[in-house]
Amino acid sequence: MSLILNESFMIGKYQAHIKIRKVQPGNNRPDGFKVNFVAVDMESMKPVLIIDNHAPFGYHMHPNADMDHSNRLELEVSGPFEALEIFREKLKELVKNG
Amino acid sequence: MAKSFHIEFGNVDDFLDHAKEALEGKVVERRIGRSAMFNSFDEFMAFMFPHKFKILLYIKTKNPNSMYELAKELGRAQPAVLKDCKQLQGMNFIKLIPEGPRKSLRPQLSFEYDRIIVHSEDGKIKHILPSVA
Repeated sequence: MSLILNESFMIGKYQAHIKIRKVQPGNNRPDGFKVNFVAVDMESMKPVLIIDNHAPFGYHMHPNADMDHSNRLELEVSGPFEALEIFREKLKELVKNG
Repeated sequence: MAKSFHIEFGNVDDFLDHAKEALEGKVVERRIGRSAMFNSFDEFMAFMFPHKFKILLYIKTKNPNSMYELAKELGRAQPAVLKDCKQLQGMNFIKLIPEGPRKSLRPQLSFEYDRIIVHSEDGKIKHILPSVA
């Protein structure tokens, strides 16, 4: 498993974190990527949005992650690029709504 | 050779395009836990000063064993220092390592860097914060 990106970004009241690892393709992650796309509210230091991927859900989102981490919304995406685009859209929404 | 932590500036799209590049196999070494991106220089300064830069200096030079020790040395309340440290951790500047039976947090630089290089938007170096050395 190798880490290919671990970067953070601060915008307004949020920190966004992206971690991407290359992993052995298998049942858990058939495309060989393990991703964590996270937005954290800097006041509470709690995550408010998480997108990650693992079986049995595939790529999925934890909306309102600070309230209920078990709440998952499966994403109909073909891979990490489309999941990243959903994160882009949701992060912009968060920032816009402040 | 001095090890550097890099500060870059950009918008949401720039940040997420780094992820796209990484997925395409275009790996940039400093983006693997050795850099952070801010929306603007002003936001970076507001984030870092006055408290967080002092925290980094203290961690680098004194290697405190606990949040208690760090807060005491800085003359600040521990919850406020802990919050600053969590925000620094969130931006990859430091790690908070749970230790001992009570899992108390020991702050440590994310890696042994000696300086913070602040890049300008055109990619040229703008400032080096040498006091961390």
